[in-house]
Amino acid sequence: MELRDYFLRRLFLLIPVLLGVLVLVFTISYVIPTDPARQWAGGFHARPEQVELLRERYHLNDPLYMQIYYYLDGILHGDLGISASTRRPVLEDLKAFFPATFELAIFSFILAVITGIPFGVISALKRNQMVDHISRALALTGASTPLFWMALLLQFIFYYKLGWLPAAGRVEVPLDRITGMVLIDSVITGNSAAFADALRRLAMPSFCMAFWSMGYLVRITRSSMLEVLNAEYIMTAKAKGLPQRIINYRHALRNAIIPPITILGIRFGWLLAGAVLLETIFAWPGMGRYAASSILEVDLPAMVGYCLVVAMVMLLANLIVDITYAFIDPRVRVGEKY
Amino acid sequence: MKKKKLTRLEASIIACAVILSVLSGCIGQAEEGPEEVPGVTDPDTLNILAYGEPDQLDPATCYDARGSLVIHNLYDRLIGYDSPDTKVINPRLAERWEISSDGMEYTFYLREDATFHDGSSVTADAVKYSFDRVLKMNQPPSWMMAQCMDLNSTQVIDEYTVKITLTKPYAAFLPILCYTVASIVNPDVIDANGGVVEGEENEFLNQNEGGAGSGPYELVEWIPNERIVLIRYDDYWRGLAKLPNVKMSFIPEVGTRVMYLKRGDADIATGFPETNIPDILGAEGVRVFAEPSYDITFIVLGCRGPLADKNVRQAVCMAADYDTILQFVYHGYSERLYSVIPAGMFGWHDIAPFEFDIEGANALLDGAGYTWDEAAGYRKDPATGEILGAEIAVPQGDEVRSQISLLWQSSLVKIGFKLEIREISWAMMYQLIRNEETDMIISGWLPDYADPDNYTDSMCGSANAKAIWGSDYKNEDLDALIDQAKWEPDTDARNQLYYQILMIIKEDAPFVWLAQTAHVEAHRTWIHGYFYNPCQSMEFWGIYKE
Repeated sequence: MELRDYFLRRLFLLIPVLLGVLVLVFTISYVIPTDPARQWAGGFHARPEQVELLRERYHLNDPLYMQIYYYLDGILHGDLGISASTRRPVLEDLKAFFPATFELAIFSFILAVITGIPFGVISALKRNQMVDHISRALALTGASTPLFWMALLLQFIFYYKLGWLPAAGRVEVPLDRITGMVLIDSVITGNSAAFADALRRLAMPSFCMAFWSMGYLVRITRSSMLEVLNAEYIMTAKAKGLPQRIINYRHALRNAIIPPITILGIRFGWLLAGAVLLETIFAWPGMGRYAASSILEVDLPAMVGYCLVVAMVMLLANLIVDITYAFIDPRVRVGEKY
Repeated sequence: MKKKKLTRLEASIIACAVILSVLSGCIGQAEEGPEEVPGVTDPDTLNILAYGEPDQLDPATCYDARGSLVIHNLYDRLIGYDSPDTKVINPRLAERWEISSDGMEYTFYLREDATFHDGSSVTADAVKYSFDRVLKMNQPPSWMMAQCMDLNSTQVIDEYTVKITLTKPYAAFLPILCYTVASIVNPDVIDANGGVVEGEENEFLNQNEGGAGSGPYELVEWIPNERIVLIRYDDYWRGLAKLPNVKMSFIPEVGTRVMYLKRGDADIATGFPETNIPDILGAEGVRVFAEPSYDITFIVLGCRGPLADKNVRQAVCMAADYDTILQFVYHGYSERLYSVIPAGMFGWHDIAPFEFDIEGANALLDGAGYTWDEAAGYRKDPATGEILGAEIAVPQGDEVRSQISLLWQSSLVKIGFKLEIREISWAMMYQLIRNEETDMIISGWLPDYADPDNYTDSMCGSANAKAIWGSDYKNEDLDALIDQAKWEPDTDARNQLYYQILMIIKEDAPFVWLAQTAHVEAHRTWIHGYFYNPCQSMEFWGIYKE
């Protein structure tokens, strides 16, 4: 099977998966004993006639299958409904909040990769030496420290105590939003003040996320590398008299990188799904915060929209990982049956 | 002696512990505060940490305090409050007004120098347009006006005079006009952006202001989940606002907000939880701003099962240790709530509420035939033979309400009443009691407008007791009195009616009235010119930094 066919087939598989997610979310929201219409109409201040109006508008009086039908009908017309808590179309909200999360995720991802994989490799090569111990301690700290605690700690030190970095927000300097990703927008518009501000505000949340992912990455890379370094073909390479550098990076690392890439795929999905706590602490206007407030306000259209985006992101991240295997490891041919 | 060598695992654990300890040590040392306490920062901007983001900014649609805070400063109303006293209503767009002797007609004389943000005058036509718009759109807050107005009510007398004829003489009409739903909007802006559609929201005004207001500030930008920025309106009829800019940032984490305040990057944090007051007490340049509010906290008794008996309801009221709750749960920042009407509001009376009295409660239950089951350690319900007790639903993560329920539980044991506590999400809590799946909840009520009717009918009227609170409480005499008081035009007679209402509610005990909570904010000490009114959002106009 061609790579292109495989890619298209996997993309096509998104449809039944997303449909499943949709049915699941609707079913859960249908069975939990809440009264979203009352919540939207002002909570316990809501008047019965207002509650009834909202029930009608959002089809809440209809049976579950009809609610799903109306939603699917909306999707086919490019409409994910109106958020009950923001009063804006859900699609518009997702478009507004996704770039913030994406920017944070991609920055953290890069940070995690450029630190995690080299640390893992060095740890394996310098096994049981001081550098390995340091790297292990850092990795364990990263993987075991609760994200919210790390976030508060960084804020406390770098904002409150030292005053080096802003504590929260994305960018305070006025900036024309084009892509929604403030770093890119500031580059496009040549706004260097906004770029510097955005970068400073990105520092702490992205470090937190990266540190968290980096811990896992170091451990996986190290153990995978150690396993490969003990393989017979490495012995052969050594016996042939190849330079150690070539053995380590061309022969060992290329094979050892597969497990870290698998982890990276899942991690990237997690990062994109939006770290709710982190976005709350750093007042980061991303999807995690949107999801949290939607859940608290029983905002069904927003909740369903968020779940669909997260499901799609997770599936795409895994698809990219699968395709990456094919480029990195010549033994893997996507779609081939062994 | 041979030294034991550390294993790798042990070495790693020690290294981790060292790293975390060093980092934690930074917190310990940093408790003294930042290195430098700044002077007035950002002197031209009022930096507010809002506790939540508005849903929308249309006065006809908005029905929450978060949106009202912004709307109140973008739009003006005919009348408003210039002090903390809700009994004194002051002129705004209306210079003066007259009320007919039967309380049916209100004539407002508008000032002629008020303009909308696009420069056009605020006229009687705009007032009629605004009020009719609220009634036509029929959005969540419209019921307040619809109680006593219809589309024929507002009549333009001349360019600057408007007469409102009520459908019924409602004494709370003026307080309703102080709520943001009665804001005056610019007809030209609305007509150019979707107009007025019956039963529908206006999408433009939900997200923009666009010159529709005549308040002291104009909306510059609203970036969802980030901030709202306002700039002062140069031709405001009351004169320039003291600060040129207002920036409201949406920072949900209380710890982050505390740091912003302490560093001087924020001037005011709204909606500050009582439980976090110790975090700012004693901090240099920061003060706790706590004022009596009309917000009340109470326990809803479902009035069914064992709670159908008035004796049991009165006994559980007597088993609440009010002083301890006020002192330790609310840290002394709240007052005892006597009944459904909060102190300071018209209609409040000292009705000698139930006090914490375990002996009295036991005597009451003994007299009503609830005997002790010595083996179980509780009383028995003579009607069913089962242990006397009930379940209370408490919102998950709400520390204040959780502590109240635990304190109450420990007192109720002493009168032989078994209280089971069930923690559940906010949204589900109300549905649970409405579905009769729990017996009690701890809840609260905030005023829409400063009138006792907004409390008595909404809470104790039998229709609302069932629909809103899921309680089976029903007293037809009380319903009649509540209705009579609602429409009584004579102030003294009305006041007497509320006394009767409060006495009946005390006797029936359908709620445990706990606390009249304080409105708590955290301010930098350089903030001046601010007053808090329990029925009006924060007014930015007079605030300055010095």
